[in-house]
Amino acid sequence: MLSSNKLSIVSIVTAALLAGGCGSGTSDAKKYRIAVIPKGTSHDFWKSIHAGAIHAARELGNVDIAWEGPAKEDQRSLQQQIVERYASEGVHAIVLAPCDRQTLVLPVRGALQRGTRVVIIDSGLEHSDAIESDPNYLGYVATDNYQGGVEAARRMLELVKEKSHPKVMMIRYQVGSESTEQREAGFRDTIRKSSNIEFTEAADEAGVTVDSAQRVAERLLSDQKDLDGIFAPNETSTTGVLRALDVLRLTGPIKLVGFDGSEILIHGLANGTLHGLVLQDPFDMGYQAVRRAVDALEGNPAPPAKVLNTNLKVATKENMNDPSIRPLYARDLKPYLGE
Amino acid sequence: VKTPAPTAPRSWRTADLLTLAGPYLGLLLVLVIFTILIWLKRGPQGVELFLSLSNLKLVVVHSAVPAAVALGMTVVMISGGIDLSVGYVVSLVTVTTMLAYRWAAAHPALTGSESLWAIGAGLGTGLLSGFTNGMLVTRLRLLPFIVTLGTMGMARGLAQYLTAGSPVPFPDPSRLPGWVSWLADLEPHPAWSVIGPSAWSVLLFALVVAILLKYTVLGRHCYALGSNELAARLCGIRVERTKVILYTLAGLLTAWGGILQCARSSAGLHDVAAGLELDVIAAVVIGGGSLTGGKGTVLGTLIGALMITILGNGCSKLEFPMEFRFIIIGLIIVVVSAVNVWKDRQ
Repeated sequence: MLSSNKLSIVSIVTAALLAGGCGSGTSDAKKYRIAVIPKGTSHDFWKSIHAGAIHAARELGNVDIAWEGPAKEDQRSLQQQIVERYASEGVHAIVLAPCDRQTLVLPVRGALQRGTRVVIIDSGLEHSDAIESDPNYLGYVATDNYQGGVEAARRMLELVKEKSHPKVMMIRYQVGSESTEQREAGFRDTIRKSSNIEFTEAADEAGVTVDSAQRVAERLLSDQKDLDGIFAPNETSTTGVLRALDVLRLTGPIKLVGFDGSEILIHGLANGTLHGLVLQDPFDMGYQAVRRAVDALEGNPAPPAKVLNTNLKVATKENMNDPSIRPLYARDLKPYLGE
Repeated sequence: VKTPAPTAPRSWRTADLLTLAGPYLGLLLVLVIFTILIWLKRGPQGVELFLSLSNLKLVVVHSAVPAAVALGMTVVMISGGIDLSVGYVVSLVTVTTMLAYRWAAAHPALTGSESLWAIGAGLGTGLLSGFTNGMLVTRLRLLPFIVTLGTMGMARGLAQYLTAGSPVPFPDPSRLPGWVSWLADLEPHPAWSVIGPSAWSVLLFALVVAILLKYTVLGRHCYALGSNELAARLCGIRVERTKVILYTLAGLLTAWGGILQCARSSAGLHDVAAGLELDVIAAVVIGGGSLTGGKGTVLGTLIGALMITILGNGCSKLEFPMEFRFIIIGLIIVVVSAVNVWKDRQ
């Protein structure tokens, strides 16, 4: 807020509320208006992105964030309308997490042609030369899921290093889910480089619910109780496998490394039943995307890489209270979102 | 397996034998087919795993939630209805059970009675959703398919709203109440009881429902409604009232499935049983039930639920790719149902 010293306390608060909350607020005090459009609005993941964007806006002082997205993550045509509306409204930049690789290509091209800067976050768009060669396209800010799998594998190797021939199993999530397939590939490629490890991949898939993952894990574990480690590539599958290990009383001997946080999983980590958890940083994603957009708007030279990988950490029982890890699962969003 | 007794009268036909062997035959057939396939693919070692006592115990426990829900579905389907909402009602029950537990745990005055509040809330949720289904079907004169499609959406939305999409664990997930660990146990408890406690609880409910269907007025009215609703009405059966009671009873059984699910997951999960309705309807139909009503038995349904679980378990032991599993399971459901229809026509 450049001119805020002239304003009364009340109007500072009002401006902050407008910047932070409702998308309709425009403030003359702000130089740039940036629309941040998530895939959905209810999940904590998106709320963290929102908070990160607000954090960047407050730090920069000259940015007004408009936040609007579909309620559910599969409402791609609604998201398309939102993008088109902000582009025609003439916002300076749009930060978008596309619901769909294909559907959002045209609206993004339309926005770029109008001169709106665009940053894509979280999930990629279908490759399009028209977008990638456009000077207003500012690149892709997201978690490197492959790297997440690599980190998980490194943690696993650390956990089983004392065994001479450890048996490690990976339970896949579901065919067709790009982010988890990337994580699986990262894990598989890294673990296979260790020649002493007997690596197996179940033909069974964890499926979308915690219960489907639990059933699969119970079936597999009843046949092979001599496993040393299991990797599960997302929150529901990690939760299901953790519960199966718990029910079968195998949480001690079998090390579990999983992905993404929840109250249950963080408790498992603290309790020593879960031995590693790869955590993404959506707050960082929102923050970096807004920074990137404003950098370009200010006329700074474009960043050399079009792809920016956001923060990613492996949490363990030992490091989970470190200042660099703790915010990834226990960040207080209230100061940003005011809920 | 014994061959049919040679003393059987000559007028006996294949269809009679099928009726006598009833649903067991399908179960046996599926077991034999999978045993052969697994033997071909993985040799005797694979068969040993598939037919091992520990795997069979696992199959029985994995059938418990679908079987509990299928008991309710059997009652509804015999009366000529259907209930598509069961998958999300089970999920919603896990959520309300956990929320009630956490609520009671947060109130010092209620210490010691958390589990009562939890189970009460879970059963209440199921009863209420069943009652709602029954009232909507009878008062609005809508098809059960449409009504329960609607309540399915409501249960789904409500569960998602109550949890904000995140799992709801026990206040201290490493100290679960006794009933949760007991119901979640895959092993028999006590050891001599052969199958896990959750499966015993379902068998108990099954016995009650079987007696209800066979020996009570409500049971006879249930079959009468499904066979010919108009005739039942003309005979003086209070159709609306009976239907509401049956849907509410089904809601209670679905709620028990939800309590078992809650114990299994030791958490409230807003979508944990999504898609369960299809497995459950398949179980009832495999067990001899019919979408047009008037048919179905408790024993058949239990066997149907076991069969659905065995299909998944067998495909897993066969290490089939997922896409083939869907095809094979679908195919077997169609074949078994076709045999049921053919048997009835003879």
